[in-house]
Amino acid sequence: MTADAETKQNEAEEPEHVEARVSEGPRISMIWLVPIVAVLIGLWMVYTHWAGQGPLVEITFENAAGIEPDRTKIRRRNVEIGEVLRVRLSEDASHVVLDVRIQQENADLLREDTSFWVVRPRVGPGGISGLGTLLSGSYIEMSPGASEESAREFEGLETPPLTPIGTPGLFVTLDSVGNKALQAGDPILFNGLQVGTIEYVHFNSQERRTYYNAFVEAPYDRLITTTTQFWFSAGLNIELSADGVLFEVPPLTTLVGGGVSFDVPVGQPLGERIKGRAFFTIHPRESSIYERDYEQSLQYVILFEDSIRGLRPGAPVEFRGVRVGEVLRTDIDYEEVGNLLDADSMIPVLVELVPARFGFEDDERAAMEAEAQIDDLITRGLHGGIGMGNLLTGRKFVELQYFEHEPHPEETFAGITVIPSVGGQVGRLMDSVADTVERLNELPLDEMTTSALNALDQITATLAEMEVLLTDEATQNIVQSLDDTLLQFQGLAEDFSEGSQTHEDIQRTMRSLEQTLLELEPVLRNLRQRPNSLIFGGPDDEDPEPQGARE
Amino acid sequence: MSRARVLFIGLTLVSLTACGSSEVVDDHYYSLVLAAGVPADDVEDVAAHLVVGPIELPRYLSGRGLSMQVGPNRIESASHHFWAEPLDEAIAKVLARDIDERTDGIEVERESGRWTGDAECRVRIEFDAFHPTYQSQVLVSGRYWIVSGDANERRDFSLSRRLTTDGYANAVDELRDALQALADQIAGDIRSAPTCGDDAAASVAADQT
Repeated sequence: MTADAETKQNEAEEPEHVEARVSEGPRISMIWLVPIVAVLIGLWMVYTHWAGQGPLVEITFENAAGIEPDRTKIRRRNVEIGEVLRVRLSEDASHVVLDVRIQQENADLLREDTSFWVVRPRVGPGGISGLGTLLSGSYIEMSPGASEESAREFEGLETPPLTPIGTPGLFVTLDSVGNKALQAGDPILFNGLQVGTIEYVHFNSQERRTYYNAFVEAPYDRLITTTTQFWFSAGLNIELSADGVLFEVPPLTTLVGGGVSFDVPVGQPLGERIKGRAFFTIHPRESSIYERDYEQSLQYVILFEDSIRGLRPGAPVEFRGVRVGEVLRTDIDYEEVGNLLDADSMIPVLVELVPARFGFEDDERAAMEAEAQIDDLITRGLHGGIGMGNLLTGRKFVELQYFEHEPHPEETFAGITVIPSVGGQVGRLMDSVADTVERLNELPLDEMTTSALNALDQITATLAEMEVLLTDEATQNIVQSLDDTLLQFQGLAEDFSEGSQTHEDIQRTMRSLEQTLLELEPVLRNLRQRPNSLIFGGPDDEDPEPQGARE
Repeated sequence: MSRARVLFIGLTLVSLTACGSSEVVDDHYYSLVLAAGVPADDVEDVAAHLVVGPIELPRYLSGRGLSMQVGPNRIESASHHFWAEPLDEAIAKVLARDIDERTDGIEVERESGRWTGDAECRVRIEFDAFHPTYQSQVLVSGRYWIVSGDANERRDFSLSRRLTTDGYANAVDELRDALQALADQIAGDIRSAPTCGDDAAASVAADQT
């Protein structure tokens, strides 16, 4: 029997009091599982969201023009890889800080050298860019870095980088002096083809020299060698010098803007390829790359009495036709000059002579040796004069000449050794004219004139005598006789010419003579064999006669 | 001088003269021109001129005596039979006459003849043989060139005639006969020459018409 049956039996037996028995049920209801699971799911979703939203990075810019939180996107090659979450000022309010969320799958692109810049409409030397953002709004472009170190804080670029990081090629540093300059973005040309770009421009105020960071793209970077020379190729270059008119027209791409070209000068070896960062000086023009830079030079002053019009700094100094230096100064800003109105005032021209151009080595010892020789030459007659370099431009040059008969004592001007001057070409021409006039004056013109007149009288008398002689009847008869004789000689020549009767007769006579000689041959032969036949006669044999055919 | 000495010298000279005397053989002269006979009157319109000459003979035919081949390689020159005139002149005259008779519209002259202008054509002849032989025949052989304008054409000839009777006279007749045959050959070639042939004569006739 079961308990229920017993209970039912007991209840049937004792129906009035049934004592309830309390049994312990489950303390937590199963219904609580639902919120628990919901919480877990929520936590899992939060985790997955947190884990999948990617890293949060900070990018600083000078300003936040065109950037809006939750709208401005981060892009790489026009693919969205993140979003600007927040825009705030830095603590010192000197710049803005962007909190940017980068997608997890692109987190590996965040390296130390990763760069960000704002893409917005820009007008630059390279043209107009970012027009597409006029309607879509600005966005931030990312250029992934190549560093192995990852980073989460970045300094944004105010302008887009001209060469994306990681682009194969070669960075070089160029420098220049003078009034020519380049801007970032100007092209680097090789034979007119753009092979690189000026990336960054820096002017060193202490050195008064401009430095450029330039990038030459691969494979053109292998053109940069140890003998490569750079020169400005911007704009038209018209130069008037003692050598004439130099007119250089650059490629069209750099005619309006700027640019720099490079190449190995003709005649020089190609050199070895440069693989690391190298430094080059930009020459003002292509022709300058053929001019060597000499370290040693000597300065002299030439004092001129004549005008130095047309002589400019940079004009060549030549010795025996070879360029040995150049003019440095033509001004009169010396204490020793005084004023030009003084009758004895001289105009100083400071020249620089390069010992290496005379054939010396380019070192101090050779320079001292050259200086000693030049000083010695000055005392023995070396002079400087002004020559006409180019009639078209009127530019002149300094010409060193050696006059052995005009020695000169050593002299200095403002502490610089003086090379004595001679008159220029015009002056020398005037000297020659004066010398010629003087020689003409010394000529015995009176005696010569008298002699010439006497000679003319004699010639006149001789001509008169000849006229009498020619008009004389006897002379004319002689001429007539000569004429007749020539005519007769001409007729005689015609008589004996080929085809004439006389010529034919002579021919016939000659043939008869030849025939006779032929007939004499057997007679002479017979006499040689039998000399007595002349007296006794020879055997008169019968000739062999042709015989008729016998039938 | 005594009479005896004079008599001795005279007898000696008479004796010597008697020793030198011998039988005298007569000389004979032959002419090719006469053998050719009298030329016929030839009045014609002249379209071109032809010059015959020069005639080049071998050395053994340059003498006045007639030559005869007496062996395979032996030539003898006659001592009593002579050409009446230089052989080259005679051959030129005879050939010029014969060729003239065989061509119409062409005036033929021998070189150094009366006509001295520029001829349209010229025949230059070189003889190797012009003589009788010991084999009872006469040989006439050699070559000739017809120069007509820029053309210069060479022809060889070799003619022979059989001798029927003895003597040089018959041989000269046969040589004359061989020359006629040579004239026939040359005239035939002349007719086809570009500057003095039948075409030239035809053009002259057309102009006159």
